[in-house]
This record gives sequence, C-alpha cells and structure tokens, in this order.
Amino acid sequence: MSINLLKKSILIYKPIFVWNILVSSLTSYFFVIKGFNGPDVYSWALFIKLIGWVFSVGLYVMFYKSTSYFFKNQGISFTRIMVNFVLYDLALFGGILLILFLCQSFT
Amino acid sequence: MCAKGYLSKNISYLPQDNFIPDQINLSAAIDIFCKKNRDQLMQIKFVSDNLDAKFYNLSGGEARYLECLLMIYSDHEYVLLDEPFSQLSPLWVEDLKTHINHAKIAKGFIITDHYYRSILDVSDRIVLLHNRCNYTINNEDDLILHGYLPGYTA
Repeated sequence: MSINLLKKSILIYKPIFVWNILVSSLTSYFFVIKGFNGPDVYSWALFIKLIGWVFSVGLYVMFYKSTSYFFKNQGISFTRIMVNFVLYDLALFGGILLILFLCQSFT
Repeated sequence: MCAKGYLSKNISYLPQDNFIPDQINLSAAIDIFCKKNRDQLMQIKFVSDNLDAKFYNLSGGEARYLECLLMIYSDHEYVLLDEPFSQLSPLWVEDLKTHINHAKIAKGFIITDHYYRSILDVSDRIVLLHNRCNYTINNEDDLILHGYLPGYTA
C-alpha cells in the first residue's frame, strides 16, 4: 500500500472512495446490530459488501478510459490500482468496524 | 526488461485525447510529471500564469498545449507524442517545435502526426507508414513520390 498512490487515487477517484465508505458504514452497522451471533444479518452484511465492490469496479471502469494514461505515464498499472483499492477498502472497513465496536462497548 | 513499456517508468506518452483529469491543477501535474525539469517549464509564461488553473477551466487547445509541454519536459528519457500539433493554434505549434528541438538534445522523441511540415521541421529521421510499408523520407518530394501527398505523375 502506497500513501502517494492513495493521495492520487482519492484525488481522481473520489466518487469510488465515497461509495466504499458508504457501503462499509452500512455493512458495519449490520455487524453491530447482532454481531457474529446473528448469521442471517452477518451473511447479509457480507453480501452487501461484495455487491459494493462489484459496483466499485463498475465505477472504476467508467473512469478508466479518461484516466488510464494519467496513471500509465507514472508507471502505474491497472492491476496495481485495483489491488490498492481493495487494500484501502479493507483497511477502511476494519477501521469503521473497530470504531463501532469500541463505541458500542461504551454504551 | 518489462513486458509493458510504461512499467519501466522510462516512457512518457501523449495520447490523442486529453489524459490529465480535470480536477487536477497545473502545479500538481508539474509535480507529478516534471520534477526534474520544473524550472524549465516555469520559464514559459503561459505555464507560470496558469499554475493554479484546473484543467476543466482551460480550453481544449490550452489543455492540449500544456499536456504536450508536460510530456516534452517530463522526467522520462523517451517521449511518444501522438498528434501533438492537432488542436493547436499556429503560434503554439511553432512554440512546441522550439521546445521539442530544445529537449531532444537530452531525450528521444517519437512523434506521429499528419502535419508533415511540422514533423519535417523537428525530426532527425522520418518514416512514412503508408500502404502497409515503411518509407524513409528526406524531404517533401519523397512524400509526393510515395503517394502521401497529391502531385505525383508516373
């Protein structure tokens, strides 16, 4: 994971990051409702997260044509951007979950 | 050796369409592509006047001109320019030719364009791709001879 690439990605692909934050927040909310004790909600949350990723890829493809040479001229490939996207999203999702669980334990 | 040229980070490529995202300003683009040659770019008045301008605020010709300059003065050793003289006013075409002639001392350029007079002015070696063949071109008459320009009679 590169911080430099993260900055560039946020600048160029802001809508994708906003979308991922929304999906991660919703998924985390489902986790917090019943946590790991409710397999139905738990499965539903994971399903939403996977569908969210599919939409992220769709959004990325929409931007790809107009931005591909911008990244290629910096020696950054499509695969590297996608891998970084997933890693950033997992880190973000983990962060949101952690914060929610910590907040829940205070109540 | 890289399977894809751009992964070597040694090649800059100017595509036919605009490639710098609209939400980036010129100063940020210079920081990304021209760290080593920033000073040379800053000497160009149009560049220094528009450092804070985002690409969506520029006209198509202005954006094209700046993208050409960014690639010409990029940090990479080789530059591929695909139709750099299209969409530009004659003054800017002349200006670009000056910059290419200045920068080609230090780096390699491959330029493709239908504006053959501009190509003739800046090139050390010219190859015409025509009728599935390569022809070495030395002057405008060769373009007529190989059927790229009208006027040849057998």
